[in-house]
Amino acid sequence: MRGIVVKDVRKSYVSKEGFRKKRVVEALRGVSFSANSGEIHALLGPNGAGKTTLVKILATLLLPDSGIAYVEGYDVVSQAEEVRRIIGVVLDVSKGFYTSLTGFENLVFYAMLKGYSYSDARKRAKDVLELVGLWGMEAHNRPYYAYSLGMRARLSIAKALLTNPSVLLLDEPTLGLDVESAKMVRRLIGDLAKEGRTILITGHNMFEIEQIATSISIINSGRIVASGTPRDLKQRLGLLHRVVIRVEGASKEFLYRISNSVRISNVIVEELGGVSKIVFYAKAGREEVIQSVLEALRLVNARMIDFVFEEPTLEDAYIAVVSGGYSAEHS
Amino acid sequence: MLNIAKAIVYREISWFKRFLPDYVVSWILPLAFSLGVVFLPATLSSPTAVIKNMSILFGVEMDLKTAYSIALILTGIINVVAMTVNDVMQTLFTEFRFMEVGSMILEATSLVKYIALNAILRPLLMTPLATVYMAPLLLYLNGIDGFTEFLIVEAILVLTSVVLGLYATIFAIPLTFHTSVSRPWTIANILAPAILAGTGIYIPVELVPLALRLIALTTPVPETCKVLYVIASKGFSQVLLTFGAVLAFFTTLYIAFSGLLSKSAEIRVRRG
Repeated sequence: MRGIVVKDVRKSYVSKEGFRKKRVVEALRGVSFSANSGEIHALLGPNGAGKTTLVKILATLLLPDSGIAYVEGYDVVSQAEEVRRIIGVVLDVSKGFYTSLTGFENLVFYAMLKGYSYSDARKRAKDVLELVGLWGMEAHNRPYYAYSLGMRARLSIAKALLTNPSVLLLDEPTLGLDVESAKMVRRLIGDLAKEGRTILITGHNMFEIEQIATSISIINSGRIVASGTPRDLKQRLGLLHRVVIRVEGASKEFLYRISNSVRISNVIVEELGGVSKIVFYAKAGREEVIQSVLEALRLVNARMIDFVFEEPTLEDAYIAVVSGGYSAEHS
Repeated sequence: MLNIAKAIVYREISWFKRFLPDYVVSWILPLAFSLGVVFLPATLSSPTAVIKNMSILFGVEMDLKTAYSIALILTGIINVVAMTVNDVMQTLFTEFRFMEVGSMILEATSLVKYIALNAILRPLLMTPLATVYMAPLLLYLNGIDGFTEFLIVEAILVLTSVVLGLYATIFAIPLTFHTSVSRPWTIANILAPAILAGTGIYIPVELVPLALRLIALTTPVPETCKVLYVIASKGFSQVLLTFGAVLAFFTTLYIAFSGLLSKSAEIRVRRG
């Protein structure tokens, strides 16, 4: 059982409200999903959906109330020691290190806690700092409190990679990073997955997740509400494609002809100096839409200036799932 | 366990390098205090009168050198109690509540092992660093005997600080993991002076309120002071054996207590 397997995991917290009042918060309500070995699996969901709780359970930092979870075949509860040996974790990139120690010293300390000898710990810390680009910036010698958020995030990733783990659990690793740093992190994650590592990543940046994730689970209010590859998810949800066409002359006739062959909705037509900009949504695929557009053009003898066919984005799918009441039963 | 111990030693050395100026201050202030013990009352009477009073208090004839040696060694125990109690309590609290390095520690080891080793190793390393100022002065005052005296005093202070480290975790664990207290230093700032006052360091113990004396009796500090006085004034004595027994008792007691508390803290942390 390689990769990550989570079956019916539940977790509740007791949240204190005031001096005596307590409230039970169900963070996870029977979460199940799996990520194959060498896969980048993204866990998406709104704030408070239970993503971090799930990452913490897989990282053996939290115990589940019920259910089972395996990382590379090891049970996260009964074989926590084995799990800790093969995972690298990024949790809250803005903190989690000794503020008065340098990045290098923090990593050496962590490596020694993990059982590395002093010389091996220093060597390994240098290697991973070079990998994330902190060694070259001489940042490894600065105290952690002087680090920018981007540098802190890089250091968190360096820490996760320190023990050369086969599974990486990354909770919002690019949060607050500048464009360049985020790109570097994405490339790094991609490279790590190519080496055969299993990566579980959470985040809110849909563009980023769509670029790197091979499979996705969407979690909402402690439940997995949809999962699959980004393409599967969009197809299964039946999301519409957005089509923008600019034509010269006979826009109404042109639209009538298209609607005869493909089903379209939400049509907007803007006329400007004899040119019509037509926007509509269609469920049909790219080829089918192109064919009907070309056929319509031929029949009404209009001239096309521009044609844009936009695939639904992961963000569209996410919004449809999270706000549209889409449930796991559908998937 | 060995890897955790090595990691903690590495971190402590790194911290020492970074906070060397703090240590220099902690060396200068006790020197001023020890001079004050002997020479401040002398401004109201005379040095001879002060030495005579000290001789009566400690039950042994002494000269100015011995009086100053006692005052110097007294600063050692003040330094060690204040530093150990404050440091162990505040470090644990800061690690888990402010810097949130808890996940880094829990990813690598168990809380029980980490807290126990931290409580033992930090005082073990910090006590010699914080009291090293006594060595050149005792050597200057009493020659090679003074240096031997320093080594014995240092050993006693180190052993006491280890017990105090475990003692401090008994307060630090509930504060960090079971309460919503956000200023742990208020507790540490009360506890350390209470122990020292209850031991009779500032005023004769007969004049100290019973509550403070009881607080001091939960630690080996009163016994440590007795031993230090004897060593400073008379040299090696049988009183060391009593001290050893008291130390062994408190070590066993607080290791057990601290272990139970850190186990409960670990369960709480991992349950969320």
